[in-house]
Amino acid sequence: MTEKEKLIGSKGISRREFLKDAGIVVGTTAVGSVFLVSACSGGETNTVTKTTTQTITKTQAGTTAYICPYDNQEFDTLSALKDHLEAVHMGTGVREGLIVLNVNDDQYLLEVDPDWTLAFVLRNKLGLTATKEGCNMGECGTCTVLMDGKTVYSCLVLALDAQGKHIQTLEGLSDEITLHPIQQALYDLGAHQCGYCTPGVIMSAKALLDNNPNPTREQVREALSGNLCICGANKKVVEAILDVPRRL
Amino acid sequence: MAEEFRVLGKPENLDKQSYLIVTGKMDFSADHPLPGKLYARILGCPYPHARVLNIDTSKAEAMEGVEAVCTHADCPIMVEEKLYWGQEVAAVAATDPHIAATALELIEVEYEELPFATDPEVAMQDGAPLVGTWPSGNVVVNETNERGDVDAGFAEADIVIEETVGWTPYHQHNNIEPRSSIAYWVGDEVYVWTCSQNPFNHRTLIRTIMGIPEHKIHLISHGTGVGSGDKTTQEQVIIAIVLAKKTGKPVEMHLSRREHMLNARHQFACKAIMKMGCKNDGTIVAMESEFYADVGSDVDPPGMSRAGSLNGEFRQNYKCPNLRDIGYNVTTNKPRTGYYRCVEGPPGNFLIDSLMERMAVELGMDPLEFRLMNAVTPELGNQDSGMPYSSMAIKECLEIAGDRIGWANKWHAPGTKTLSDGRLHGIGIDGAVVDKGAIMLFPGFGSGAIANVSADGKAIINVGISRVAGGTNTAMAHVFAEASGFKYEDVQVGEWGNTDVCSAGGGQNGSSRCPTCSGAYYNCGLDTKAQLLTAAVPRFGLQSADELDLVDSVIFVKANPQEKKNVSEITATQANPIIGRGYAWPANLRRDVHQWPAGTPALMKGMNAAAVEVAVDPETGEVEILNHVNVTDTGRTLFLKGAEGQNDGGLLIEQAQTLMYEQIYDHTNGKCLNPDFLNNKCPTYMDFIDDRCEGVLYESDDACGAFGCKGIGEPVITCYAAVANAINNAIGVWINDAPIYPQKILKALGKV
Repeated sequence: MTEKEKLIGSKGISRREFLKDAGIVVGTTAVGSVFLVSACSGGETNTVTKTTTQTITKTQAGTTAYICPYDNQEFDTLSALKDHLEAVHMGTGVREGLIVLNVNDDQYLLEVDPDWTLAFVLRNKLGLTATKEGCNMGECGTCTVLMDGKTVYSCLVLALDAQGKHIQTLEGLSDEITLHPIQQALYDLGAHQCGYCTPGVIMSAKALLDNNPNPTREQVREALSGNLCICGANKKVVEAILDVPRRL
Repeated sequence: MAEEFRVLGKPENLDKQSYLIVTGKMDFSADHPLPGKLYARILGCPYPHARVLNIDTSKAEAMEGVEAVCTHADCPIMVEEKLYWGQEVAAVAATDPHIAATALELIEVEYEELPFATDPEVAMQDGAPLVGTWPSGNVVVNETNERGDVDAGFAEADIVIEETVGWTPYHQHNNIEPRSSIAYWVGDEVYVWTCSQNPFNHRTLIRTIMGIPEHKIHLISHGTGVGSGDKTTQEQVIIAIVLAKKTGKPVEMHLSRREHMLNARHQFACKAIMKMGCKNDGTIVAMESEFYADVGSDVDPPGMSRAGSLNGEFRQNYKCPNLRDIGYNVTTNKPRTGYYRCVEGPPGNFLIDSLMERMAVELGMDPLEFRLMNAVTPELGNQDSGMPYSSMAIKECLEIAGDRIGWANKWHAPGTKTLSDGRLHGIGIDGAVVDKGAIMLFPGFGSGAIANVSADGKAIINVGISRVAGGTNTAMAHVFAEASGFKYEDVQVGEWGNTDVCSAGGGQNGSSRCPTCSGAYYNCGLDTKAQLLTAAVPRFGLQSADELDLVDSVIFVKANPQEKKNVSEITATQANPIIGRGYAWPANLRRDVHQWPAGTPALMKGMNAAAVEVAVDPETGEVEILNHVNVTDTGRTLFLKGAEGQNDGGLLIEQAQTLMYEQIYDHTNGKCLNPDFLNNKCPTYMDFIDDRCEGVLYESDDACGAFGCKGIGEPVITCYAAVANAINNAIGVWINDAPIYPQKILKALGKV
């Protein structure tokens, strides 16, 4: 037994539970753009998982082919691919933490270790590095993302537990050509300094404004109280968030 | 003499790098997606003082996923003798950070425990355990300095007070981005992404430690998540480089919060025994001080006397003809100390202005009036050397702070005002002349500038400094645009913090970047303009570039401004590209503006004043900030939004330093009890009441800085004694050490 297998074993997570959870996700997600991501670590018998990221090819407008990362077989639906993976590849080295994550309305099928946090996966496996890692223990707030519309510290959420949730990161807020009104307000007012806390601040502000479109100054401060800013950009940030409603 | 500027200080000018920040695209070191990247974790020493006798890393190396382990045998920043709890003993590179952390537990180390002292009061005593590696023992004395006749000064004083103030807190910078680096090797060349306040000096540091020639070190420092001095010497980049060499793969050394809080540089702690003599009218006639500086296990730069720096502050902060000081540097088994938003400024000012406040009370004088009366004047200059100041506006800063907070109507004798809700009202003020914010021209700190002009007539400047908080890169775009005649929107920051592409930008240390780099971009602007005008001469059918001028990206004939061409009309048909360059020196000395004789040397100083109004709950000891004004002299504001942001940030840090920041050590076992944000609390958005805080920028027009500018990064946080003075004014009892926790207030009030 390898060290990693011991880790999985010690957490008491069985293969069945992984698949059950993943299955639920598959059953509820709409077909959209889907990415397959292979984890880079572990798996001494499995060379396939060491391949680079594969994006599923869209064959024609409106149709999507789901390609098995192990044998390149094509399927029409994600659940068909999942069935195939379980039936054909589970015994031949497919890692047990195969999950689907819905991040910014993109579906990612990937393998995770049970101790990987959502922050780690977002940054290092999905390449969504707007989410920062400042303390990795739920104190600084720079890794704040939205999970089903609510703010969470992604360093305190296991990737496994993020299955079936709708995750939003700063990357999903705008198309990078047009800024979201929150981003625009921060931009116009120069409401940041070094910018390391900014992604978390924006996500906290989004959760606030989604639920309370016209917050008071006190409510803005409370909503941002989980986001530390040591440069002290607080003053301009609060002004900027208060300025968002007139832009919406 | 009001000068008009086209670009400088305009509120509508946006940060050139803001878009990257609000979209999350600003690339901080650990954001670089490198396939096959490994992650490093550090094994910390479990004792405050120990020697490593033997390390067995074989079990860790055998663990699946682990690719390399380094120790003092092959990593030059690790030493056999560990001088503080948590110091780097070994580092593991593995395929994921959890594996690396698990592997640390498999490293077997045999230590020889050595006697230790984490308390400076203990370390100073005769017969105390030898803390570190100083040959002279635990204490290094900073020799006595004297000016005037101190004994005669005290003899003529009407009132003499003697006070002991301190210790000020020993604390970390609390940067949200921990120290973070990625390194990988291609042949014998190393690529490094790291968060650095000083990319070029960092490259030199790597060369010095690793013996790699600088042209084979490709260092990029783009996003840097809070510097505050901590990221000037980021030793852990060496761990990434060593492990990358051993594995042949990219290695990320993104410190965990705990690793960072223990192994990053700290702000030193200090204490002072001070004596002051005054005439009855408030004139200071003599001062004497003994400063003690707890510098931890090592100080940066090595050999730097922190006590000496404190004395330097003491000698120049207020007018005083007779002064004597001595200083003691004390080493303790605590993490290394370094720069924290200046070194001696904030704690030194806390000590000195606490003394000033006590003297004002003793005299029965208004503390603001007392400070104004003894404030350093422009004519006085340096009181030891007589060298004049290139600007001196401490009086103005204090007056503005007093005016904005309504000092005249609010100040009262200490402990005499109770609010209707039963809380105690207090108000305090503080002013500081800081030895920071000046032009730095010694090797590693000077600056060059490059501007490339594109075919469509836009200027792209490459700036050799990283993106830290204040937006200095954007400030340089302002300076270049103002000097060259380009419109602000026609200037872009191209690359920055990249040692291969940019010219040396020196370091964002000592608040020196604006005054130093601005000289380079000023000269670069002039050079670019001269080249463009020369290229334009034949297009206008003229003989000399002197007949042309460039304003708002338009070249025109001086004698007939209607005859004009856009810059793009010149550059579009230009075979040789226009490449402007400049250096920080010779600087744009404004001696003509100020009518200074040529060749007069001058000292540049930073200035800051703060006024604070508080309500203290006598039952809980809780302090509420009711009003806080922070006034900083920018000399000349270049990039308004950036300068405002820096100054606003000063408000938060001043509160944090007085009320919160401290690393607490258990002196019985030498361990730090709060290497995290939860127990070492930082101000949150709920603690910092932004709309009660006001930042004011004052422009004194410095005689040496380009366009009159100087640096403000460190001066903005200096006046935290204002918060402490306000608390003393509320409760009427002195509290001599920061941070001022509620329990200290309750104790002072006799409640616990």
